Amino acid sequence: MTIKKAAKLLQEKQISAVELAKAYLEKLKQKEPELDAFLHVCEKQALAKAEEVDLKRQRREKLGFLAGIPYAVKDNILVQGMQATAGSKILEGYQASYDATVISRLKQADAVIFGKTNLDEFAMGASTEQSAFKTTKNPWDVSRVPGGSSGGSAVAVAANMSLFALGTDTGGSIRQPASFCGIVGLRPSYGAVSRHGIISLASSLDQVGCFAKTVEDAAIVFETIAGKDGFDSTVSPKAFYPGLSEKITKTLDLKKLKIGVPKEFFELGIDPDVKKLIESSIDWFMQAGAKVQEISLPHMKYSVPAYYIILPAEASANLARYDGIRYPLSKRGESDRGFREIYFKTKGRGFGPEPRRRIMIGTFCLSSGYYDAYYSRAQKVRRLIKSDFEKAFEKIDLILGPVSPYPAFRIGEKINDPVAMYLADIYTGLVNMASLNGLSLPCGFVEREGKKLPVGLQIIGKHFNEELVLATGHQFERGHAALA
Amino acid sequence: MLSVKTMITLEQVKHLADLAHMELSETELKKLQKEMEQILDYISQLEEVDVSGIEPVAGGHELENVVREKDAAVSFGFDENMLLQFPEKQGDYNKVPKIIEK
Repeated sequence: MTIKKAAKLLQEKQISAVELAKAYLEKLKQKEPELDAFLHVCEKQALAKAEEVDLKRQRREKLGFLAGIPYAVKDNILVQGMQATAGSKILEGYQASYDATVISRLKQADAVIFGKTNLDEFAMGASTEQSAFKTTKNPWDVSRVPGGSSGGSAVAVAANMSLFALGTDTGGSIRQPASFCGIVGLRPSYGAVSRHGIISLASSLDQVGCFAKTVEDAAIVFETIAGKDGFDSTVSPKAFYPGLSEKITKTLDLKKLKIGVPKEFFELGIDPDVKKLIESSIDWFMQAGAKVQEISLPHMKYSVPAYYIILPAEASANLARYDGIRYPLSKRGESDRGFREIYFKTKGRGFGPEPRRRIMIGTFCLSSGYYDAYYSRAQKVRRLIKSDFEKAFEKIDLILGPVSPYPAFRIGEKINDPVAMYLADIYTGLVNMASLNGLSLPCGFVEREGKKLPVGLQIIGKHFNEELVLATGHQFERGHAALA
Repeated sequence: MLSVKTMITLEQVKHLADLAHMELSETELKKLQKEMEQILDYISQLEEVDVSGIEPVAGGHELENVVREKDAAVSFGFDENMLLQFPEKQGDYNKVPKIIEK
């Protein structure tokens, strides 16, 4: 089942929105106890919306294309009246007072929200193990992680508990879980989708995106949520995609496509089975007539260290607001020694281990005496990474490569080694640093201890060129699957 | 830049926790000290890069400043939900501790 198929069934009245919602809610109830993807399920609200859709259809009122389609939302995206914990105790009890732009657009499109999904605390992580509430499991092997930080959303789609889901991707947090869970994940260009109503992690790296079963489905959701909204001044006027989801299904002439594969991608440690799958995917493009050439991104190996200066610095500023004054969690001592005590105790008790680490690193990198050597330097390296891509894109249209150096790892495997966890971003973080877009789509499986584990292929595109990225992905999805 | 085996003292860690307004126990601070050393060691790789003559970039792509039209302010209105979030309230107001001492 896909959004496209479900929408057709609904439009042709072969199934009602309530029936569809009930079927998916049934699956959710079956799978959720084992997988732990959701932090909050809003069954009543979902059924009420589905009823509304059916009534509108009966009355022949205009309905959005996503009418009646069930979806899940990462818990760092605001849905009015619902919780938004960002996976942290510091926001426990907080209820959103407004809808994020992406949510109000999906509400207008009459989609049916099922609930809020689990994430690494404040979207900091690559496994969803660092949620303050629980760990989400990979449906392909429940002893393994689903990836992160948008693990809950990825699992909601992979385990058929929703037809699509929203996530955020600051360093790979949509693409990597998509790869680990065998589904499609789109991280749009920075400035393509409004961040109004998204709990900020790193304001120059964050972007909202989506998970879906197919590339076409992802395109449908992206088209619905993208574009200027008057609230986020970083959204570009170039982020204008009318009719995108239809355009990308038109057959692309792959012979005209110029693809680059960075040589640095295979110079780093990559699992040999994953490497084989990526190479055979690139091979598929060559067989189809695309012009594949080796390119170089000379500063690639510095992207993760630079990222782990810039992100903590920006996060330390963005997380300063959770001070026990405006949001429900507010810790005071026995003797009321004033506001400073509230700040110190609230943050000390409210933030988990990873936000603590990153706030501390960020504070260090921005502090007097270290600002130039760390933060300023990282920003210069960022410019070098950006120009590496600019130079590459002069000769090619798209970049292909892995999403992750390995398939889903075991729960607990990397949790005690922060730097090992950071290295998960090796193929994804550089895209965010250059403000580009990246698509992860399934390209095969590896076997680990008798279980099949999915692997994703990454397609990286120029700023606001999601159309080409999605069209290419769509063609690969159709052609490559035919060989399986 | 701090060199090869990056050292950060417990005093420095305490100072940073202070700047970040986080109250942490001695055990938590010591744990952070070790973790920060690992992380700082990793990020210090950037020392190798020749950045002479390179301008820092703040991120984004072709960002332009957006100026609001005069009198075009949008009021969010007052949502009851917002009141629910205040840890302490008095009527419609968020009750906060005194900042200015006489």
